[in-house]
Amino acid sequence: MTVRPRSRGRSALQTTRLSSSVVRAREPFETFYEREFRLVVGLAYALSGSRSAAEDLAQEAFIAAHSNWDKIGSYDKPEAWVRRVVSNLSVSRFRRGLTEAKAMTRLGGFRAETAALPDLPAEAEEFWAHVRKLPKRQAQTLALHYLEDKPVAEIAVILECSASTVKVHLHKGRQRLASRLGVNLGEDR
Amino acid sequence: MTTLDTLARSSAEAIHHSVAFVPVRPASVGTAAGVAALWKFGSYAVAGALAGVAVVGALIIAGPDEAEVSRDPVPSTTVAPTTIPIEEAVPPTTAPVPSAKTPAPVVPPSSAIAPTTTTVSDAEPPMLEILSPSDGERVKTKITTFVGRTEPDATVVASGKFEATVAADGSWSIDLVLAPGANGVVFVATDPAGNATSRRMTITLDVEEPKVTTTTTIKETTTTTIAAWEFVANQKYGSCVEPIAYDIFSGKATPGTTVSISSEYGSGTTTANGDGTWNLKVLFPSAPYNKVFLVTAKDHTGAKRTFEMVSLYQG
Repeated sequence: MTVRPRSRGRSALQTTRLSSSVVRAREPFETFYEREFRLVVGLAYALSGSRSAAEDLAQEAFIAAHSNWDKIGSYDKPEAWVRRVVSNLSVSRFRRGLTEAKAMTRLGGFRAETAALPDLPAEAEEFWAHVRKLPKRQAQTLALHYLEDKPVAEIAVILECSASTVKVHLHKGRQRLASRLGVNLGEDR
Repeated sequence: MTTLDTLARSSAEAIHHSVAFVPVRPASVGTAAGVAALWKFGSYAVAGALAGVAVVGALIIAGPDEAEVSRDPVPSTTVAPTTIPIEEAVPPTTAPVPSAKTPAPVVPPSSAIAPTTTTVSDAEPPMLEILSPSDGERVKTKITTFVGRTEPDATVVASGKFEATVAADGSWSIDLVLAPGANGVVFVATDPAGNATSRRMTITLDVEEPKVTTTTTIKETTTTTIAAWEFVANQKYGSCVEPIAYDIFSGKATPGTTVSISSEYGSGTTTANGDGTWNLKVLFPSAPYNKVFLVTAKDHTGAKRTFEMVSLYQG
């Protein structure tokens, strides 16, 4: 019998996938789900800005992971895959929401959000609102950096780009964010 | 004065606090997805359906360290989760349970010729050996045959998806196509009782550069013939969340030849550059949501590479 494992070449995720088999066998999905779910909801909340949508977005990513768990479960970091999916979905959700809001404003209506998560303090709400207004990659990089304290290398795996690209996004994003918030950058990072 | 980093830390903590009470046991999965799921973590048999796929039983495949699962829904940041052995929580389902209407089987007397059979629960994982190639070996052929031994009734799966052929005596073999460089492979043997043993190994495929041969004709004109290059195809993403799903493929092929990408939901062709490289963005406009489909890249000789793709955009 001849079977062909997927040859995906040069992406960062593929590199980890190759090494994944060396490190461990596939983790049970429910263990993975229990460990990661809240963290992924947090990421979705930060990037989508929607309390009601955050859980749905996270669930959607986990459903996709579950449906393809044979493949994704064998990755070295399946959590990176879920975060990439949810960060893309969340940014898309946020931008779609902006478009909808503009349309509703034009039509004279409004859309009330059903709260699924507790409100954030005003200062935090303002901070994440400014993060969401950054370019997509900068917003995703800053969310992973600040929210989950991910190192540059891990963010690069999640976003499928090089570490130097992450550093550039981090640098530009922080500069822009500090400017918009009217604060200093800080010395500890 | 407040700095960006102190503000970021407090804002991150606010998010963590906000999601700390999100239930991990969902009553429904994604209103947007419109898919209901029932998770029965109380018994630790995941008896549910996610995206139309039924999941029954625990998904344990290896490792005693994975046999314990947290059952406490309270976030671990506030209360340390208690753990229970999975064997304790999952009722055995392999033994058939006679229904009330089914008559009990007749038990022969002890003097009967037929021996009395006793069912013994098998808790011992199957033996699994990889006889060839050895761990860390370097090979030069893309298709490599892995052979080994296990218990006669066990199944052997490589890298979670490729099932080996197991003979009656327990010997098994499987041909795997290796990617250039280091390849990690995990073999998992599972016996009929569900006990599993895994073995992992690394094997490296050494790649030779494409060969260029030069021949001289009797008319003293020199002709350079480029041998057919080894076809290389890479997939960039493998999934897409955009309304019109797409992926980018690239690789190497014999310069000037046509490379075609085809699938059920989209296709495209391109020509390899003078240096043999090629790059193609392929749209999959009719790709259904969350369905994995195959995409085939093919060069002029018919050499193929197959990839998996999935659209994650839900319109």
